[in-house]
Amino acid sequence: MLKKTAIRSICSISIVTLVMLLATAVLTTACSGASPADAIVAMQSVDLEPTAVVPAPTEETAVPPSPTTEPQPTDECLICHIDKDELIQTADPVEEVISENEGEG
Amino acid sequence: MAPLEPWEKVLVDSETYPESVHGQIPCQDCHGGVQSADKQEAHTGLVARPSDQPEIYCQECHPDVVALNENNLHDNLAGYWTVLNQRTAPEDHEVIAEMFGNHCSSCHATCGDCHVSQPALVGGGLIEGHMFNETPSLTRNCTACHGSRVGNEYLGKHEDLQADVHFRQGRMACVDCHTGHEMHGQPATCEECHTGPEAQMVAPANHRYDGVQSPRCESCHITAAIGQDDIEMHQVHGADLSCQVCHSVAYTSCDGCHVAISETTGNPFFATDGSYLDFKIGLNPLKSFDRPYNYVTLRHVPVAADSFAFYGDNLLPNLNALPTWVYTTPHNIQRETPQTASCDACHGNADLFLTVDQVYPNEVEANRPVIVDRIPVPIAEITATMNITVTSGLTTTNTLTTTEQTP
Repeated sequence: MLKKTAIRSICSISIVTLVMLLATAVLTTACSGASPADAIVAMQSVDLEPTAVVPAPTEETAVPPSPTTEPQPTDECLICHIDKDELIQTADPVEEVISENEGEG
Repeated sequence: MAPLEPWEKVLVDSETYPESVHGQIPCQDCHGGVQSADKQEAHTGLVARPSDQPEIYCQECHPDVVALNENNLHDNLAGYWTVLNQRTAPEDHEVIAEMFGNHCSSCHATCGDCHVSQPALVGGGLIEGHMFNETPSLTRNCTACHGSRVGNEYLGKHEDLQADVHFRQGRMACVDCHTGHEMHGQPATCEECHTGPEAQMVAPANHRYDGVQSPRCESCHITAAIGQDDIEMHQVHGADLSCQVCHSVAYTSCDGCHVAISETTGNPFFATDGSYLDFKIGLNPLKSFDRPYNYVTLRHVPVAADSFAFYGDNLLPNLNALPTWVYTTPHNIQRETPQTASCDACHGNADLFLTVDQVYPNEVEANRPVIVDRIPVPIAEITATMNITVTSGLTTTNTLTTTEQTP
């Protein structure tokens, strides 16, 4: 009788030990298969759904001022005469005048 | 001064000019033309230089200045006629006027030639994107015209000659001595503008070396004027030498200017026989209460009997009416010069004085009023005859002693 009981206990312990060893092996294998880089990639690939709701602007909401621009001249004279490139393009050809003066003036 | 590119001459500064006082005036109010994106059409009726007519374009805002413009030497060039009228004959004035129009009138300067652009004489062009400058630029306005003598001397452009001490150490510009009051012309009498005591001042002179000196060295160097400094030479010579006799160095003189119209281009031109650096002390031809000096510095002007021969014969019949060595005030002032080195730097030094042997024979008669007959004798000769003891150095206050003062 005692002999049977002892055999049963040993079998139970072996089965528990075997189950634990298997579980340990499974867990160890699972952890060693993913590197930190894989984990980052995995995080990045997750599509996050927005959870916060941005309220729609109301009339009372202050709108940040956009950069102001200098008022553009409406005078045709100024439009041309402040534009260096335009002046270069439209300049009359220069007639070189060679001075015929001799000596100090 | 390098000439400006065509676009530079007319480029308006888009940031500064529209904000300026003149920038508030529509372009067409002064420059005419029409509003068009097409250049040729826009320039129809263009007034490129409005201040050619200051009474139309400047007077509304600047009535006090424009009212004096008829007396403005930059505008009327009267200085030329002061000389021409004396050297020419009235019957020749028509042809002289033609010559003047071809060769002299280009020196005319308008308000804009000093306050907004470079002078037309040197090609013009806006200076600071059409900004109007109350104070003209020394180099781009004043010496742009007054360059070959005043500019080169003042700025030290002659080899081995320093710039004027007022520029070199003081960085003074022309307007620090020559004020707008002088530049804009003066009325016949002071009370036309002034009501206070200044209205009783002496009337403006007809010649730049007539009347009260303005500018005047002693306005700043006041101790030299009243003889209270410790410089011995100021006490001894303060009244009989102009300041420039001791304090200027070599300056430009010119010979033989002739004018003509080019056969190839049709343009007027001039040619001078030569220019050279020289320093000559002569007699003061304009001695007066305000200029009591016996000796002044002289500069040779390039007039010659045949200067206007292209226009006719004998057009300067009265050449001798004025010296060809003229009273001058060189703009290369130095504290120490060859003349201040010692008494004998001048006394007995014939090279410094305009003696008859240094004048062209055909100009001797014209220069009689300025030629020095006897140069000041060396100090040794003075001490020998007067038994004078001279102390060493020029700046001591230990003055001369004579036998009369010796007990």
